[in-house]
Amino acid sequence: MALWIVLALMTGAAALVAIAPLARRRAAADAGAGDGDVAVYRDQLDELGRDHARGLIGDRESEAARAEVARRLLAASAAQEAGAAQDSAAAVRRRRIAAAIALVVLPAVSLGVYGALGRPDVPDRPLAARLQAPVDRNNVADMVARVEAALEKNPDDGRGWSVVGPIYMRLGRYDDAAEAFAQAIRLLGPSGDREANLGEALVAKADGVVTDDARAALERAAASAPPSIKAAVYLARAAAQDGDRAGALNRLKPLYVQAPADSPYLEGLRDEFQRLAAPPALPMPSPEEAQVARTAEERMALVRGMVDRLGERLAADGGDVGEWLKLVRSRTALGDEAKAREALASARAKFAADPQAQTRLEALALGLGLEGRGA
Amino acid sequence: MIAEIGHYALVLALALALLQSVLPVWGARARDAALMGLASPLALGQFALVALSFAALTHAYVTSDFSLQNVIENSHSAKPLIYKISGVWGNHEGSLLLWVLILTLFGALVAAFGRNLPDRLKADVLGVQGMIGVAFLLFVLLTSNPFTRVDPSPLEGQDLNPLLQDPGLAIHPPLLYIGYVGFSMAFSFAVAALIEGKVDAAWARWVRPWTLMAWLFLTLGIAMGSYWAYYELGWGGFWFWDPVENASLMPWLSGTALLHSAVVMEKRDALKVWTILLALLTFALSLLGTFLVRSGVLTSVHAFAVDPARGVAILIILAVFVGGSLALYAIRAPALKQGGIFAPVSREGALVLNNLFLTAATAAVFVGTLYPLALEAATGEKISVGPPFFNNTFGPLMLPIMLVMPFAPLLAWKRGDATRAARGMVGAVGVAVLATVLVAGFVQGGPTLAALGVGLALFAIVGAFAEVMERTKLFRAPLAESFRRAKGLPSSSWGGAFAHAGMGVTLLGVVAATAWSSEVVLAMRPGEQIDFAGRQIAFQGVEQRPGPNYRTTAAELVVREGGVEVARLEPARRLYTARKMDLTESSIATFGVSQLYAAMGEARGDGKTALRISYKPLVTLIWLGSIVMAFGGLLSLADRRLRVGAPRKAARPSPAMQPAE
Repeated sequence: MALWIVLALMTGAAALVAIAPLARRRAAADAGAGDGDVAVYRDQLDELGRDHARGLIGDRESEAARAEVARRLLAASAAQEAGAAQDSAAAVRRRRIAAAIALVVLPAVSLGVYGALGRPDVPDRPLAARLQAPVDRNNVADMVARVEAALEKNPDDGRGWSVVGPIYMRLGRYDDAAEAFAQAIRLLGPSGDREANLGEALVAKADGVVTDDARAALERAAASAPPSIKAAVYLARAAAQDGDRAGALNRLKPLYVQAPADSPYLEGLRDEFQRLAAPPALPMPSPEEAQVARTAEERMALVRGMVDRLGERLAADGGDVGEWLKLVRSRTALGDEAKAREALASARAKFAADPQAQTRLEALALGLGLEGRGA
Repeated sequence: MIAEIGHYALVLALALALLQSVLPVWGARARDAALMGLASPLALGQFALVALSFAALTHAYVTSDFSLQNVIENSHSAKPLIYKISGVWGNHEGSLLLWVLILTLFGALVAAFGRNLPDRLKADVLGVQGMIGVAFLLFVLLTSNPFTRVDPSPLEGQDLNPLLQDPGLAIHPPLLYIGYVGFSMAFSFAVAALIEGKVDAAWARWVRPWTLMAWLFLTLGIAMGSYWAYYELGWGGFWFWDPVENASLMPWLSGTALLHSAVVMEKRDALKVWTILLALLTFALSLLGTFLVRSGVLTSVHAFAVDPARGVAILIILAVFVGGSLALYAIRAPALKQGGIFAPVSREGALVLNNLFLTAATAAVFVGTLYPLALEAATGEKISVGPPFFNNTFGPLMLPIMLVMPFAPLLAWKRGDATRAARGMVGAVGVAVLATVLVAGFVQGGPTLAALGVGLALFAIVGAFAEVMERTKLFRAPLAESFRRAKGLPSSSWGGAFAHAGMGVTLLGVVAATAWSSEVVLAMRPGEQIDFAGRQIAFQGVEQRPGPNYRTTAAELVVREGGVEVARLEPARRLYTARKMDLTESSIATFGVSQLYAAMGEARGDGKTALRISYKPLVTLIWLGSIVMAFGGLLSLADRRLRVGAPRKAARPSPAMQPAE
């Protein structure tokens, strides 16, 4: 609002500049054509006289110059006609038109051009004020810039580095994140969390591949007390990447078993187990079948029928481990825990000689909460 | 809010400029004092608004307000304050705002101090200034707006081009622009005279000081730019015939011609039509300079604005103003009354000769600069016109100017006496011949022509004071008498002498630095020492230093003469972190007027550091000469007397009288 008042005042002042001289009553004297010249020539004659008096020019030069200026003066005086008396009616009309032009051009141009180009909605943003203003928690870029500015001045602020690291991770600036966590470890000393964060950043930087650097950091984190769950999860993934499912399972299982019942990590660990088991997708009715089944109950019945048929077929001809994993998972999804355990027991018995299959089955059992924590 | 006030002030200034270009001119036609009276308040108001706008932009730079696109692109919060301020005009948008600011400042000066100008002339002049203002304000607002906002705003800027973070570049553009834009005054006066169809006596009285002032700033601006290129670009050259340098040299040459023909016009009322044409051409060349630099048609360090849309806009401005004024000239010039008459051998005659050669030199530079562009536009073929072309065209044209320059002030107005003038030159010729012989005989190396060059330069320097000597009767009258006469001399006589001598000083520097420079390029290990130009230079080692927005790697050299340390050189390379740009910082030690110049090369793997060391005798005279020239201009400007050329009474009627032009 203050801005608009200032702009309005400026426009007013500009209009005053353009209009006030028109309102002033002028002496009617017309600007004659030659009076300027005559004045200049008279000044020149005076100057010549002074120069001559000071001895700067000789008598003869002075005389010659005087003659010449006098000639010019005469010519100019002749040219100076008496200015025609102002036609006052026409003059008044002209001034009215001029004032009208000014009053139209000023606002039209200024509002038109400023309206098209101006950004009255954007306030000034001097840097110092922005850095001191209360933090806008929603503006991540702002916060990062503040912390960066602070770290630029004081690069030994370990807390700063550990704060900015996770934000870099969220922004996808993994290089910067890894650098920040490394600085935090250098300044604050190693800890499970910091090493795990560094490892995570290094993994993200390498597009999900656990590099040697990352592995070293993660191992340090996993060996710390208390052991870092995040590090264990990444190491488990690394093991799985290398084809060592059993090793991965062994890393995660103790954490799962020991975690308190209200631990926020349980959910994540279950997801890890499921990922490790890599079960095939749940059976879903085909679109045609779904068309027939209009209500939710009808659809459930349809799925239940499909799962029952899968169970019967596997009981009859054995099937492969993937199908068994699918069956166990489907039974659980349908809320039929007893049947799920039954299917799991049959599968374990059937694949007793296959450690890979055993690992996957155990991982799925853990992931679905069928085993492990005294379930 | 301040940024938006600045933006709005610029828009309002455009509105006032529109009114200023229409109402006073209409008033002058209708002979209406009230309408003509509008010119001054409008010009003052326009200046106030543009100054407000410029202040608002400067405020945004100083407070690092990164909500302005222009500030983001050319500033950085860690930059030193002086470069935050110079950054305002260190870029395309800001420099044009500075252009407009100076334009309106000159308009305001005419308004404030032009009380003794005839009303109609004043109204017309300010009207034409208003038109130039409209064109450039529109250009700034529509294609190069420094107040473009960015929302949301980043928290850091991209920094100013490191080449421009230099004290030289902080003052070079303002000096140059005052020169360029100063010629707009001569242009406006010329167009006003053409509109009116007559040249008032007040016309010449006003045009000469404006031209002189523009010329003096342009001289300093060009010298500053040349010195900057010398120490900043790192290879120690002082003039490259770069198109952008030529762009500033052309208005300087034609401005110099204008200055001299305006003298003829003021004193003798002659050469009117020619002076008007020169005024038009000089401003046209200033606009052309702006076009060349701003449009990006040239690829050089100056062309930091590469944007064809802007180029086309400037080309339109150029076409309208140059085409329009020349058309007006073609229609109205025949109506102008011819002025006084003079003999071929006279002060006027010598000044006509000066004009002839200066315009020819301007044409040579013009062709050399624009021919490659025209050829590329027409056929797509790329050629480059280099120093040999300019040395072979520009050089020979300047030679007669240097030869005739000392004579002219000794000639009387209207009809002069050549033998008498020649007698006054005996001393200067003697000094010149002596110097040539001494240099040719005793100085080793360098081309033989260089000795003649030194002779010519000394001839110009000594000859420049021949008129003063003559008028003070030095050596012919008692010293006290001479001193009294010297004090009584008008300062414009001294001004002319100094300006002409400055030319000679610059020439001396150019000749010496070109002919007798020596240079070594070598790779040195810390502790090594070389003998160079009569001195021992020891390389101490390389040091890393942090800077505000850069990191420096500096080589340390100690210069000794006969075992005594006389100077330290620290050539360096700077890495500007924000732009990841690597710059050479040369280091210079001055001995008298000669300089030792060192630059550091790329780092080498083998522990050695590449160094280039040159010795440039008398090199500073090049720039000192320009300062002497500008000082002469200042003296002349201080002389606010009215001038009338006093002719000598003819002993007998001269048969060779002829009309001017």
